[in-house]
Amino acid sequence: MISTLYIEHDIAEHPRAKAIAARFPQSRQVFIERYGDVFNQSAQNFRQQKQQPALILAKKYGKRVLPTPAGYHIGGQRNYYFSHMLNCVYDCRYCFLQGMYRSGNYVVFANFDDFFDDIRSTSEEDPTTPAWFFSGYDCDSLALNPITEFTNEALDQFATMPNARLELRTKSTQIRPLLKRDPVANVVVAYSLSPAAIAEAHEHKAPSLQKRIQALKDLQSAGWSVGLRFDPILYADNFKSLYAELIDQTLDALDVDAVHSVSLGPFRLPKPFYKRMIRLYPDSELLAQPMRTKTAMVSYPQETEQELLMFCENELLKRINKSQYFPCVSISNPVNLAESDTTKTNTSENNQSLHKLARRLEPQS
Amino acid sequence: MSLVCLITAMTAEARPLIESFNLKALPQKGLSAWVGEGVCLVQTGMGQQRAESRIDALLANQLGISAFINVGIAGGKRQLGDVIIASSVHDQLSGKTWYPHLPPSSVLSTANSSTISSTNFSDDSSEDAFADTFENEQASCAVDHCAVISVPEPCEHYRSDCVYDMEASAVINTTSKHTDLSRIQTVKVISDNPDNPLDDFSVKNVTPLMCNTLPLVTALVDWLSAESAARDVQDFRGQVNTLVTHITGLCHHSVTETHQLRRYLERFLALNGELPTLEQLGQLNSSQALLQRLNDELNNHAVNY
Repeated sequence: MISTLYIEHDIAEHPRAKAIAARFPQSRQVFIERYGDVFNQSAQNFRQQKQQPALILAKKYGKRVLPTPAGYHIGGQRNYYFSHMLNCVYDCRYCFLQGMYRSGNYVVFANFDDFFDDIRSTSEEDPTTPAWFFSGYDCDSLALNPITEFTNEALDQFATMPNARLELRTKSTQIRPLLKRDPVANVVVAYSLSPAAIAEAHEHKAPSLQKRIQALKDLQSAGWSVGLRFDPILYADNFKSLYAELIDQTLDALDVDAVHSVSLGPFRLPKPFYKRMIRLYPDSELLAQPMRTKTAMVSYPQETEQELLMFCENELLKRINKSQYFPCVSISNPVNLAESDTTKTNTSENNQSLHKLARRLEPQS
Repeated sequence: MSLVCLITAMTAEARPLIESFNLKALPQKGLSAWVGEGVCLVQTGMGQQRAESRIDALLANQLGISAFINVGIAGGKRQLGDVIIASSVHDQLSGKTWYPHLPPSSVLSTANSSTISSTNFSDDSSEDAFADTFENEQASCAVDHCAVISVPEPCEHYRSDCVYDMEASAVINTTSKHTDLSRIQTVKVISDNPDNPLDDFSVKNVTPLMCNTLPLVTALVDWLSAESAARDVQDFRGQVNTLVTHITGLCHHSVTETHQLRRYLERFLALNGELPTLEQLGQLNSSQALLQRLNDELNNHAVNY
């Protein structure tokens, strides 16, 4: 599957980079200066590369831990995200990564230790307030674990950081490293969930809904804290039956009171990402549906979006406590997300603002 | 029909390719080009400027070229006749480097190598099995890869980690404005090395050396021709563009309206699996009315799972 490995000179001798590279003995190795030379170059085709992605082993410099956008949380006061990997092994047609990155190749930052050092120091900045760290913005937290073994290391580290909380956002069923060990109290494994038929149509290469629910069940039975992420909510004429069934199916399988958190978010994309995605996938049914372009963001028409979110919220609140519920936008005024970053993007649609805008979105998985 | 375009500098480089792919001369003054089934070839002459101008001239012909392979000789610290595929192309003058998205190992592997099959990431039966699959489903690359450095003048600074040529950067610079880097590949055969320096080089030797590139070039042509993602999008857009041309020929659309029409028809095709017939579109006497009708159709399209 990985025919080409690009390896930064700076990380080539790192034991983890060597271990990952050793898993691909027959792949061609190309040594590079910086991952951006390959990953960010122009004239790339995300769709084409996604069929045969290369793996780029790199070292992450600069800020490795960043604050989440205001309002994004699952109950914590201090919220941060980090990305030890860029891009995802799955190919979900609604995913903003398709519009954010030029390349479909995977980047793994092999210097996990530096991430953990930054996480530790960030959590210790205020020892009285727990700090949440979200993994899975720019990748799936678990899917490439058999190759990177990120999860084991992250769990070992977080077990020694009582003031830190970790959310592992995923669609993957690669949960063996978690089941093999005792639960870590300050870690939540959160699954992105869509109705089975929607998952089948748009979440290419991702495990089926049934398998994700089984993974949630197994994790919860083993004592792990789990979260449910209904995001993005996608429109269908029969959305009521689809989402009612999804919510029931998921919650019936779990001890609802023990679910850590449930979040809900509408389908939304920064306008430049949406345009790029249409260029890549003009044949996508999902992207062909009626959308509202409002300043910097593209989403369903307001009435449709409101109807979707209110229905799902009502269904959820029949089964869960309000204290478990964290909507990604105010359901009574779902346009606020689309409008909140207008000034930034109108003044300059450079990469920095696009990245800021992307951070208004949910984690990728 | 989309073509894979082979690009060579010299006649001696072009000859075995023309023969192998059974290409016929394209009658156009000032352009040495040949075309055949699924493949065309342009011979640019030596040097970067010639490469750029000849490729531009060829592209002006609108032959439907969707991929490019630069094939030619190069110098390096390797055996004469060794064939490499470029993992990067560096222009010594500008300092710019391109990294082509290389084809799967299976394309470059020998016939008895295993084939790559896509890994199903949804299979959770065993992580170990997943990891094994991930690692073992690789074919060994029979063709070596290395950096190609394009220089303005012939040079004899041979290195083992790269080869030197004179056109690759110009080719990739020009063609990357036309397509993406997974559809531009560079294949070089070693024509001079420290034991056989440029002083000993003879054009007579080029044709036999170029024959060594034929298996790889053929494999790349087959792969680029069959590559589905690009072809799917191309076919999809082709269908839409044909109808757009037809409609705008019957009923005047402004530039903005034409863009709007194109996107509406793309959406229609994506949602319905087929384009509307002219009967469905009704009277084509007003662009506004047509766009409104299409918009209404799209807004009322049923979305069911």
